[in-house]
Formats: sequence, C-alpha cells, structure tokens
Amino acid sequence: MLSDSCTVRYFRTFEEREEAFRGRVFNLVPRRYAGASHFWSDFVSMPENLKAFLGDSGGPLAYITANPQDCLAFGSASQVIRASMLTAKASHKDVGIEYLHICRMFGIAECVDQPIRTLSGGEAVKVALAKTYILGACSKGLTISSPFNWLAKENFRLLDYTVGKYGESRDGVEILALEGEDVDVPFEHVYLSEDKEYRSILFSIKLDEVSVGLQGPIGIDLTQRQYATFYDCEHKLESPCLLKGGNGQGKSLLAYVLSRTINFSGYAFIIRNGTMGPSRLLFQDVLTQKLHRSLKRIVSSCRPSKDLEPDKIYRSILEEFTQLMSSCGQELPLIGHKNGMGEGSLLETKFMLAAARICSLPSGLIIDEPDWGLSRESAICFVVAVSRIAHERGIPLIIISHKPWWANIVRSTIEVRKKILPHAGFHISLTKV
Amino acid sequence: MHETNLIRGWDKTRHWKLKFIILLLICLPGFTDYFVRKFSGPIMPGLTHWDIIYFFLVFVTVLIVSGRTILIFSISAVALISVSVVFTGGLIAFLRILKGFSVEKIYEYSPHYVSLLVRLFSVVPIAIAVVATIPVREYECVLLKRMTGVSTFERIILMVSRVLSHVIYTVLPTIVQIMKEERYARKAYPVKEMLEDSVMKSTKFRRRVSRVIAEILTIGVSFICCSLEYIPLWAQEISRLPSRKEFKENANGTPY
Repeated sequence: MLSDSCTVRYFRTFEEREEAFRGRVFNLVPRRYAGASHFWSDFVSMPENLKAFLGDSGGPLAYITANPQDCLAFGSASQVIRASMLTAKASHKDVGIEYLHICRMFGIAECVDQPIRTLSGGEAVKVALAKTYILGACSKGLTISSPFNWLAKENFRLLDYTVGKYGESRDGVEILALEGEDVDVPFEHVYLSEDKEYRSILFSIKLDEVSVGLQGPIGIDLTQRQYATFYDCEHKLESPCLLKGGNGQGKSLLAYVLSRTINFSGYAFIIRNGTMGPSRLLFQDVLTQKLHRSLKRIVSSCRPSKDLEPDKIYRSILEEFTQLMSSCGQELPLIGHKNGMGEGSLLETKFMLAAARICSLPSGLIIDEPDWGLSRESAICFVVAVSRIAHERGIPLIIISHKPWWANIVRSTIEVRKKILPHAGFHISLTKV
Repeated sequence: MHETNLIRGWDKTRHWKLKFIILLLICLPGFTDYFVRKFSGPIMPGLTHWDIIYFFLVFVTVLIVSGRTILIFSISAVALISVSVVFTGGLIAFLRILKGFSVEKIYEYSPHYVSLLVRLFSVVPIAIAVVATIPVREYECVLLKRMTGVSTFERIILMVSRVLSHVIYTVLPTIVQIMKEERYARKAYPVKEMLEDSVMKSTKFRRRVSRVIAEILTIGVSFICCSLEYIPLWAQEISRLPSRKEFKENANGTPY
C-alpha cells in the first residue's frame, strides 16, 4: 500500500523505538522514560543538537512523533499549515497547492481555526500529516513514529499522500513501529481463550446525570462554556470489558469520570458484589505517572498487609506474563533486569503501577490504551496477566482501546460514541455490543 | 444588551485597547499609592475612606468592563492569596510576639495586615482584569496570516504562547489528574497504619514533613520534565520560519 521509498522498521520495545527516533532527529527529544537525571543531561545538550539538526545537508528532516499533537509547534491548526507553507516558500520551493485546498484534502477545513489543545486525537493526526505533506517540498526525508497506533484505518490514504510527497527526497520515508502494531486482526491463541482459570467476573457500570465541564483549568473566558454529558445508563457487564470507539469519542473521558480524576456533576459508579467504591486508573501515559512519583514511593504508599504487598503482586503479574509470552512462542522483552521493584522499562512500569492499584482493592481497575508503547503480544499478555491477578482478588478489569486485537480476550464490550450538539458541547452514549 | 454586558463584560476582541486604557487608569492609584494616602484620613488604623471608595470603584469597573466571570475568578484568586499571605503572615507575627521574639506590640502590627488585606482586594482584581483584557490568543492567530515572514518579537510570542498553552492545558491538568488518582491509595491505607508498620525509627512529624517535601519535589520535577520535553522540537520549527527581510529577499515578498 505505501510507496517503495518507504521503509518500515519494527522494534520489540518502546525504548528501542524511542532511541531510533531520537537518532533520526539528532536527539532533539530528551529521554523522559530514562528518568529525571538523564532527561536533564539530554536537555542541556540541546543547543548543539539543534544546530546539527538545522545545519544538516539537504535540509532538516520532517517528522511526526508517537503522539502527533506534540510535534505541532503552533497554537492553532491554521498556524501550523501557514508556518509550513512559509518555511517551504522561503526555501524557494513551491508547495504547488493552496492553503484551502490542503485543508480540504486532509479534512481539517472545519477545525483549522481551533486551538491545538481543543483538537480531537483524529484531527491532530490529520494536521500533523498535512504539515509534513507541505514540508515534503523542502525536507530531506520523513520519519514517523508508530503511525499504526494513532492512525485510524479510514485515514490511511492521508498517510499515502504524505509518503508519496517524499518519493524523490534524499532520505525517503522511515516508519518506526512496534512489533505487530500494524496487525489489524483479533489475537487468536488457544492458551489465552480456553484457559479455565481465566474466569470472568460480573459487575455493572452506572451513570446518572453526569456532566463534565470542558474548559481548561484557567478558563476565565467562560462565555462559550461547553459540557460533555453522558446519557443515563446502567450496564451489567463481564470482566474483562472493552471500551471501544474511534478517536475523540470520549472513551478516556469516561475513564476519568469513573476513576474521579476529573471534576464532574452527577453519579458514576462501578458496582461489584452490590458495593460501590472508587475505581483506579492506569493512564495511557504511564511515563508521567512514573515521573510524578517514584516507584519506591508508590509502593510505600500502598502497603495494606503482607498478603497484598505490591511487590508480591508485581511478581505474580511478571510470572503470568512470562508464562503467557513463552506459550505464545515470544521472547521476553526487557523486563526483570533488576531484582524486585525499581526504575525499569516501560513494561516494568506498567506492571508496577497495575500492582499498586490492585493492592488498594478498588471496585474496578481501568487501563487506558494498554497497547501504548508495547508490541502486540506484550500488550495482550500484559492485559491477560493483569486480569488474572485482578480476578483472583475479585476486581473487574476495563480496558480502553480502538485496536481490533481484543475480540477473543474480553468478555463484554461497550461502544462509546459522541454526538456533537450545537453550542452546547456533546452527548456521549454507551451501548453494550 | 446592557444586562448581557454586565454578565459577560464587553466582547473580548472589540475595543480591547479602550478597555485596557480604562483599567490601566483605575490601576494607577492602587499601584502608585498616590491618591489613596494623600487625600483621605483614616477610619481606623490601616484603613482610610479612600481605601473603601477605591475598593468599590475597582469592583464596579471590573464587573462592567471585564464581566462577572473575571470578577468571580479575581475574588477566588484574592481569597487564596490573602489566606496564604495575610493570615499566615499575621499568624506568624502574632506567634513571634507571643513567644517574645519581637519587641513590638500586637496593635502595632495589626494596621499593616488590615491595610494589606484591603489593598490585595483592590489590586489583584484590577491586575487580573488588565491581563485578561489583552487578546493574546487573537493576536497569536493573526501572526502568520500575512505570510510575509516573522519578526524576532513575533517568534518569541509564538514560542511563549505555545509553551504556556502546553503547560496550562496539558501538563497541569495531567498532573492534577494523577494526584487525584493516587489519593485513593492514601485513603485506603492511612498514614497511621504505614507509620506503625514502618521500620524507620524517625518520629511521625519528621516522617510526615519529609514525605511532603519529597512529594513536592517529585511533582516539581515531573512538571518541569513534562513542560520542557517538546521545547527543542518546537524551537527548531519556529526558528525555521523566515524573517521578514529574508522572506523579501528570497521570495520577492509575494504572499500566498
């Protein structure tokens, strides 16, 4: 499907892919995943890296980061497009296409004047692709990090347009992906689907008059106040449960509401065995969680009893994961290189944070995009391992993903869909599939 | 129409220069201290007639010019500041006197804190209103519309606004969300239980203080890392924009 000038490189771990991306952009992204001290040493060497990047022969490289919104350097989509056109024109290169035509071509005409922060995930992706399409006129090549993770299938033609623009560039296009990231069929494995121990748990989700304000934390201009409201519902579900839906449909917003990490009015509960309690959330960006509080501190803050020590649960998850990976014929990625808990890889961090949450015996455990930063097999084995350990303690598991991999893993599915209302934000509906 | 203006303030983008000048004029007495002290006598130690008049003048002006939303936001901000600055300061001063560390009397300290409180209630709302009047977002939007290169000042504005918007709308909410999520771990297993279980022999107070300090430090580190992460990428894109002069030389200044 993609043109011949495009090379796809697959990596087993998040760290390897990030290193490859950093290498391509002259280390312009500090290593947040490596801890604060490495981050700082990378950051202070930026001026030299910046000079090298800009002074590289053949013009700088165009790129899209693993989270496309982060590579947009301007406040609105229109500015991003105009800035790219200005850069191309200043290099004596004609883009050969007009501003409005580009907006229509990439389907961003409706949102082009919106601030970047208000764009949905799908819109940010389109803006990033439009930007790199224009920069194709004056760049020596293009590097894209994990496009199969953030690009919905119906938008693949946009990636095609962009890649095609670099057909005659010096370095061509390099796509850096995690193993299995581009596979779009459900995961099938006897060991996972027929395992008796992998039993299900019944629980319910109940929402009653839930309304969430969408203004920012310093939203002092409230003349256009917007809300997201959820339709009242109560669904009886089986764990593991999948929340699915396209980009920007409100899946993560629902997770924030259920775990009460966002302010809202109304009632939202996960009910298990007739009791309601707070549910815990594993965010998509676990690196920020790891930086925010050291793993040691997370462990020390949740030590209820010796039976439920996070270290013990961590080891159980690791054991399950190792067993599942070997049954799938997969080699073990970078884990367990340190004895017990400590600073480690992204996968270790996920194990650790999941263990800390299971320890607090929540009414539900929600994992937002468990596939973020993991290869296909690792992500699936991670979810199965966590669900087994959580189920042993009677905790239901909810995962949020738009990947089609989970069909044989989950026991119930909820579709989240957004309906935009004129002048009043939007309604979000939950439908049991 | 009149009612709408009172609730929302004037349209943010219209007449912003006029609003800015009006608010700036109202600011002058508060910040220069000229009229406030010169033309009025005290009602009580630390409080003059003009203080009261100025206080009402500020509130009415902010309500009419900037609207109810800004006024409410200002009151919240001033309440937070006064609790931390005035009341904590007053408490420390009182404790110093009580313990005999200060030779002055309580009645000598009090006027200072009364004056400070009234001043905060006038100065902070007007300062917030002045800042909120400037249509930064609208200015930022027109920066690249001309498509004829950017000046150094415009480059700085672009960079600063991108970083600020990232910090305010992405980094801060994320950190707040993580802190909210982690509070359940603490609720489930209170500090008391952890202390009893602790092998460390330090006192409860020291443990608590060191824990609070460590948490503030890690939050600070996390905040800095998240804020700085993409600055080099954005900086290289902004630095690639041609200057006005360069653009004229290279592309004969023909806009798109």
